[in-house]
Amino acid sequence: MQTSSFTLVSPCLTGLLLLCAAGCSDPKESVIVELPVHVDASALETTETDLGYAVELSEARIMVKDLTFAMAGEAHTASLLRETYDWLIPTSFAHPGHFQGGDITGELRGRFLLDWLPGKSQDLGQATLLEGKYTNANFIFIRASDDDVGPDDELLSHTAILRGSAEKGDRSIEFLALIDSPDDRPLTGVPFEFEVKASSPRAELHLFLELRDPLEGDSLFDGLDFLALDEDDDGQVSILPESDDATLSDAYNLLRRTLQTHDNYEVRAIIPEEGN
Amino acid sequence: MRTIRRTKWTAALLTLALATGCGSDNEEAGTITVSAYGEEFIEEGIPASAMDDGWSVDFSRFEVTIDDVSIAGEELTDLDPVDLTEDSDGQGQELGTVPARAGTHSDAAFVIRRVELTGKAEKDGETKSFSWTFKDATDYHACENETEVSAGANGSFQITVHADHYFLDSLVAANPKLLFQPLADADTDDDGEITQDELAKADIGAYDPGNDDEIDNLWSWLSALTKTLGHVDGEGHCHVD
Repeated sequence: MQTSSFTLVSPCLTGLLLLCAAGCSDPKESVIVELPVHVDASALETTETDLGYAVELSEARIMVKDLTFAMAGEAHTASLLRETYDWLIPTSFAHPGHFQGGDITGELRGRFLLDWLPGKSQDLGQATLLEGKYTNANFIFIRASDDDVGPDDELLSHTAILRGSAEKGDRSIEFLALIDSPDDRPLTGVPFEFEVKASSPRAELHLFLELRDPLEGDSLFDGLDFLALDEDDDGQVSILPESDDATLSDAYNLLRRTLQTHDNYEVRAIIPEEGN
Repeated sequence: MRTIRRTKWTAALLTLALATGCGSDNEEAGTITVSAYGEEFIEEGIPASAMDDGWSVDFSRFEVTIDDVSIAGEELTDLDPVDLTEDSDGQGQELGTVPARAGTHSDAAFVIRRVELTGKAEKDGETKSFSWTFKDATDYHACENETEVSAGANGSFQITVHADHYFLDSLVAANPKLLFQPLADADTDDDGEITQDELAKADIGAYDPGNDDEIDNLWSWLSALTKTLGHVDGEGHCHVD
């Protein structure tokens, strides 16, 4: 669900095109492509953790803002356009974590409540990208405000809500996790391998949440011993910020760290079949 | 260890030589003096008011080994370690001087090969001491410096070391907090000294390592933070390897 959105597309696009007309020797190098961005829950499957739990999610919502897309190394554009792009869409340098991952040459700005379930594709809007070979994407974790969710929504004032079940043997634990990211906490380096060309078939960019890192094989819920966390043995566990319980606090910190790494996300360009 | 250090007198002599008789570019030559500075946080300590959890930190020694300083096409190598706790009246510790054309010089580079820090932290009558050595070199390059050199004059380039970075709670947040408590809690034998062994056995807890899932204890956490110490001319950043 796109709670509220604004983009710099129109004024930026106009400015870029005007400046290109004035100073670019080859207008073709400055082509801007608009591609739709969707949240795609099709990668969410029951996943086995390192401790032998089969985890299935029934809810996965994360509050973010400002999706950006980057190429490795220098952008494939005329120098004038490159300087213009830096002015219009400045690269952020966090302190101490500087942005790593290439030159940002695509964006979809705004606040977005990413909802990966119940399995449908969620439309976020149109991203604006320069032509070129992309290698990664980024976004920023934020807290859900009352402009984003209703007053009774458990996600209000939090960043992420994960709800589901963890089964091991004949035991099953229902869990709820609420995660708070620091203000404007950037996530960089989400894998996104695609060459954007104006002449290519129209692609859709799909943002996936993956319970298992396809490269390293780690699960999002590795290290969480759900049965041990269920101290009152009622079959329910809540993993919340600022817990007084040391074991639950450790579990919260571990889950937050894992959720905030790029290992669990991917952007893929999907070409819809004709007729779809 | 062979040392190449050029003093202020050398800087003056270089400037004089370049200005009076050395080649056709005499009139457009100067020098750059390179220094290392730990700011007040190292020379005077980090007050509790600057920390987010009420601890204050004082350093009795903060020795950095800097090498391979590159600026204006010149290099300073094989430099002696410098203790940044020494009072410098805000000028830092001089590392050396190189000749430089008049103009603006950028993209400086340097290596911090080793950091040794000794000190103590205090809060509410409790004191924790530490003595840590970080030996992994960090290569800083493509730095955001703009060092101005006028003809016949001396410019300055400063390698600034931000000691407060050892107490950041995040490697990626735009506005991280400064905390000492998680390090204090690592003193599991409660003898008042936080050792490398204790830190290596302590989980990173609420610290945020960003995408680096290899950082799983406080010693590797502090080692990662060591790579963020180096800056140029105050707050200027560099690319880091």
